[in-house]
Amino acid sequence: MGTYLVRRFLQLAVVILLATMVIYALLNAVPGGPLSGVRQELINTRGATGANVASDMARLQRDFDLDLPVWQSYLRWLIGWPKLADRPNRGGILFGDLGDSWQVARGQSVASLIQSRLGNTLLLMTSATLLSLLVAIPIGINAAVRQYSAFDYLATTGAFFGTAMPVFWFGMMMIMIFAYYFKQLGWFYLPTGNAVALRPYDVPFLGTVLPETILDRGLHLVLPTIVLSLLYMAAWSRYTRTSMLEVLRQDYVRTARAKGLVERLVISKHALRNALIPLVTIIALQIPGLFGGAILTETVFNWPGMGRLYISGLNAGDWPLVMSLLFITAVLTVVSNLLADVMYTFVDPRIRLS
Amino acid sequence: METVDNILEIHNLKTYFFTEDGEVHAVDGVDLEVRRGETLGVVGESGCGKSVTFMSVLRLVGMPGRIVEGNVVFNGQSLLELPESEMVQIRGNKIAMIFQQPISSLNPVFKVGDQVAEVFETHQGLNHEQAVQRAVEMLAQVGIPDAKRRAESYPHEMSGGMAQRVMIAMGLAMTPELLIADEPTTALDVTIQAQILDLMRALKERIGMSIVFITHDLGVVAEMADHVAVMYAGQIVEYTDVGTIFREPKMPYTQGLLGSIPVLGVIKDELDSIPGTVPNLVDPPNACRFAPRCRARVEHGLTICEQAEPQLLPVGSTTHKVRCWLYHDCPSLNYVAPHSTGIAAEPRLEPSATPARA
Ligand SMILES: Nc1ncnc2c1ncn2[C@@H]1O[C@H](COP(=O)(O)OP(=O)(O)OP(=O)(O)O)[C@@H](O)[C@H]1O
Ligand code: SF4
Ligand SMILES: [Mg+2]
Repeated sequence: MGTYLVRRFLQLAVVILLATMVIYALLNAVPGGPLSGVRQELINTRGATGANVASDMARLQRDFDLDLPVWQSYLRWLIGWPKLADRPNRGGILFGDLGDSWQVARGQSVASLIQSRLGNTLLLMTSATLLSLLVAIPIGINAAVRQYSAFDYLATTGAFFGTAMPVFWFGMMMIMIFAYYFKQLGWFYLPTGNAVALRPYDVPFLGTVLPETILDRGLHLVLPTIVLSLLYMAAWSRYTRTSMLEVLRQDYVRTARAKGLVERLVISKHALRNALIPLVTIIALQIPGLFGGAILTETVFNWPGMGRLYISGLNAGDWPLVMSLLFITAVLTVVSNLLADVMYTFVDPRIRLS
Repeated sequence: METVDNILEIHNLKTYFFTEDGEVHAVDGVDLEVRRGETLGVVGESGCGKSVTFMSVLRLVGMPGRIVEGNVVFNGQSLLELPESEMVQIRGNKIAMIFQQPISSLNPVFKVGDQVAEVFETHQGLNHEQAVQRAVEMLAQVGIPDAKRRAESYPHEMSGGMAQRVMIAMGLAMTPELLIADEPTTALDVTIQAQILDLMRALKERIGMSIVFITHDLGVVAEMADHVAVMYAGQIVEYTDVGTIFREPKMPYTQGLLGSIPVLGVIKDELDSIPGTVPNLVDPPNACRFAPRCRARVEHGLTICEQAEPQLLPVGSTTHKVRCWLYHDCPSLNYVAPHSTGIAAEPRLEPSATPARA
């Protein structure tokens, strides 16, 4: 296992290095150059021949190392080397220096931007992931055990619904019904927009809810969690069903029955234990998502999370921000792949790392 | 009527698989009995329905298969009508089954000792520790060396032979009244095979266990069985005591199995190959399933074989039963058999069936 891990870590390093190259190449592949967004903004505010547009652009080029040969600027971004006397020192993204934002929050470090958003995304993604697993796995198991039953067809229909439903439409319907109409009718309703309220509000049964309390956060969390979960539930319940059907056909399930085990034990002990093994991959590969957030859901619910941060960065041409987020996602993806492999050795005695 | 004590009786059992290609008649009207304290050998080519027959007895056939007809009587109790809650008390306890393919029959994620122990937990209510201890004793009893350590192994860490012994230990754990052994010694080498057979025989003697022994190995049948059932394409085609089957097999298929001309004192170890292939079991015709491969049919110029399904009926006065038109008449088709025993069959007919001889 030791040598296996060393080998995997080396592979992992190579993959991450390649990823940084691709990410950096992206910067230079932006139509009109990486600063086209900034220039457009300068022109918009000052006019095409406005004061200092040209000299400001030149200064920005220098600030961001865009006037250096590509290999130099890439290496400075990656590891902070070579150091240049007339330019500020860089720490290098590999050592955690994500640089400063150009546009979304000019002058603020990307790290602090991420810090302000990460908590919200972790909260939303974790609750959606947990809720989905809790619902999807029992649905999948039951659908498989009672294949072609009414329950199975219902689950299938539900999964199609969940997969086919555009998130923005479903999200808006939920907002309309549970946030808007329910409030209009004087019923219990759920607040939406942002992760917390700005000022106290009244909800029937609960009374006055103060901003930034746990209750306030909880209420804001409900709708986006449900909308996001529907998507995961649809996929994961299907996945569980397929996996369970596969296991139920195996000889050892018949052996368990032949021993005289009651059906409930045959399913919950002998079949389930095997059917859940492939779900390890799903759970591990969900990890990058926990940090990356859900772009559509966050947008619909105006949820201040990582997904929306990424979109704002893309729209504004805030490349240090975008590149940092891509880099983090790449690292998390390869790490969680490794994690999945290691987890397999714990849940499946047949698998040994070698 | 004879008065024999049957521990298991199977009457007109039909188990079909409802597949996209049609109804697979895997078991198509099986009649069998297992006498108390005896060993029934069941032989037949691969795919003839041996395993499905006895899985049906324990009601272990799953989708897309279903028992469509018939009756299974164990100790005078009709198993097919039993509620599932009573059935689980029979499985693994009163009737145990040892399956083919031991490695895939063991759960890959549990230790083999725990899997054997589960039987004791289920039927004797032992706690896990006691159950594992009994499991280790069982494993030692079936000849697994260093049983305590081997109990900690996972199935994939075992050889086929070792895994088969684990299956046998599991099957014998509760000293069942009836043990169904589905090719239990196929994966084992000769010495271990002999040990396992001895063990089964000892148990049979000591506790009066009855055994159904499904096998391809006629040598094992000769050694172990009291009665023999020969199966072909989902049906029993011949049933008699072990002496008779080797001395005077009646049904052409059985004769083929034994090597056409049985030589006294010589026992064939492997099934002889018979020309032709095993018939398709999807929607079979009302005819003899063996007809396309039967030389006797051609030699005797029989047309009835393809028009009417022969029935499993006695030949002579013994318990010897055969499913073949060489021995039974069919009055409704004006047919008289070449080796007529004077017993008449009233079979299912093909729509085109016409009286054979005026
Ligand atoms: N799940 C299934 N779906 C469709 N057909 C099946 C299924 N299981 C068994 N059968 C069919 O039932 C028939 C009998 O199978 P069975 O396993 O009882 O044969 P067998 O006599 O035990 O053969 P072997 O000697 O190879 O073990 C086979 O022809 C097979 O095609
Ligand atoms: S019934 Fe006819 S075809 Fe079938 S085994 Fe007898 S002789 Fe052969
Ligand atoms: Mg079989």
